[in-house]
Amino acid sequence: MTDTTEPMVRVSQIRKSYGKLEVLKGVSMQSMKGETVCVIGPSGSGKSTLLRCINHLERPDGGLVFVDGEMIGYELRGSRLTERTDRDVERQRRSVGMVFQRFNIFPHLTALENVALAPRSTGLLNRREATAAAAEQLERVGLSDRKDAYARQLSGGQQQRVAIARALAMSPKVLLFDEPTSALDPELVGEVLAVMKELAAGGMTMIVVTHELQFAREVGSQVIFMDEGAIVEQGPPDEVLGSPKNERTRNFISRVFKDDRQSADPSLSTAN
Amino acid sequence: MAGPSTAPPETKVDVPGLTELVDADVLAGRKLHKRPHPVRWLVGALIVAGLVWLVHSFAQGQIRWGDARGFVFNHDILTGLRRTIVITVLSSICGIALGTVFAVMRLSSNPVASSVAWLYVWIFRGTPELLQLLIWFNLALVFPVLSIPLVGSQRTIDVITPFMAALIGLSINAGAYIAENIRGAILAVESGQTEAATALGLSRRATLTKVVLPQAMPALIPSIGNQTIGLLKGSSLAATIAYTELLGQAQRIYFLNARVMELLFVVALWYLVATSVASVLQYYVERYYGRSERNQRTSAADRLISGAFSRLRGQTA
Ligand SMILES: Nc1ncnc2c1ncn2[C@@H]1O[C@H](COP(=O)(O)OP(=O)(O)O)[C@@H](O)[C@H]1O
Ligand SMILES: [Mg+2]
Repeated sequence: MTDTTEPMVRVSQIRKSYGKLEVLKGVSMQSMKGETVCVIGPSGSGKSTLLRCINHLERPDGGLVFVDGEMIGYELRGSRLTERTDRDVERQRRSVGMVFQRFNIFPHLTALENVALAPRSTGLLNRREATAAAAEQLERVGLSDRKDAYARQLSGGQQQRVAIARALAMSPKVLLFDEPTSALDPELVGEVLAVMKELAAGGMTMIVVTHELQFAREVGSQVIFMDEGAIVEQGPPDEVLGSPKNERTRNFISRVFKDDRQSADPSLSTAN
Repeated sequence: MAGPSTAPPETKVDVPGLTELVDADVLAGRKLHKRPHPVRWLVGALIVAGLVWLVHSFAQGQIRWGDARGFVFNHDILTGLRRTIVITVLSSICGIALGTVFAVMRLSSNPVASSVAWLYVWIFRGTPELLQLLIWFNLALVFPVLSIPLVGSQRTIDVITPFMAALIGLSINAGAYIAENIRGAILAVESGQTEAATALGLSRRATLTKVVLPQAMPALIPSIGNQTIGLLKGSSLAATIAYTELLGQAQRIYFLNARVMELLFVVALWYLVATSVASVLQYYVERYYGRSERNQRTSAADRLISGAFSRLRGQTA
């Protein structure tokens, strides 16, 4: 299915409302294989909802999502687009990994069991293979010495790295990150971003919702600025972050940079 | 332990003006006294006095303690005890099974399933347990013959024996409470957990059994333990529908020999023994399911039980 001109992820005119609140107003974007797309925007602008539509955690009201050419969540029956069976949707989700702001590590399992659970219980690997693969993924995120630790014994940064390993264990075609460093203490952000940079360098296709503009600038293939359920501006990081055309983008970026400087320098944040 | 021994560092308390007022122990850093608690002592003494008086009056009352002692290991009483344990174990197993099924139904997205589960809980939690037992027991009055398609039919009196009526009634009643406990415990598991499992491509069933239920367990065990202890005692209601468990046997005996209080105390003793054993079992099950959060919170009672048990093991070892 993989062909060089077809994007790995294609989102076309996605719309989603909660009651009267229109959260996504026809969002279209795409990501080529190996690209890292960074999505920025104020809280409530629909970034999480967009990600959740990509793996069908949320059922969009309109529009289509394709991953590696396959339509997510729906299929043609006759001439009607009908929601797929649970089994089918589950299979599709396996090729889309997701990393959450709050880690969502399974607290009753060790780090190794967290990573091995999905490959094993979806029948992708047998027990021995799953354990071996999990150990390998933990090594990839630099946690081979914490295999047997439970979530409560791990720092936030380590938990998030376990969560990344857990997503990687399903060998996904694309990884979605929803503000992966927003719940972390500032000194732990770096270790998670380092893992993500490595993944990007290794050719993983990633869609990253983040407030880490520095990361977006260094790693992003493109940056998308969203506001009020729509894409306001998108393009190469240098353009969107360096010389934004839209005023809302400019305001947002200067606000985030100001916050960043304040949290990086304690003398500034205590001064006001 | 080689090497020269070093003198302990100077620990003398040195506060100007205090030296003359307190004794040498204080200055050496020892002997700070607890606050006196005269009221606590007084209240404690009053309570103890009250208890002594209570025990004394029972000892003086018209109770033949010797007779009571004789009934503790009475054959019929032990038969009753065995029946109480059997009906408790069976109906808590059936109750947990029913509770799980109805909890999952209640949470399902199928409106029919969830309404039926709601109805089940509404009816069986909303009516007295004794009433339910009586209705099951008297089912023959409305359905003289029970017939199940493809299985056959039987006279209701033959099927719904006192034992069956008690088992059905107690299980269904317990199931209604347990369903609510399970539902609550499932809802208490953070939604992010379900989300993470779903995003990994786990089926709903795997999400429930591998991610949600294991996390609901620690919260569930105490309430299911309480249900089981409740069943242990609640099974005494079966005495009223002619199932002669522990209480029923005692009643049969005292109808003949009129040693009412003696037998009731014997029954009380056996219930206390049974509920205590159940509590200890519950403690171990709770500990098993608390593995991943070991050393977090242990109540004083938990520490007492575990302490007692480790001492016991220490003695036998
Ligand atoms: N399940 C939901 N029900 C109702 N409203 C929701 C739900 N999820 C998100 N929203 C609303 O949708 C809007 C966009 O949310 P979200 O996609 O989380 O934004 P972002 O991730 O950019 O902060 C917010 O106003 C939020 O309150
Ligand atoms: Mg969000």
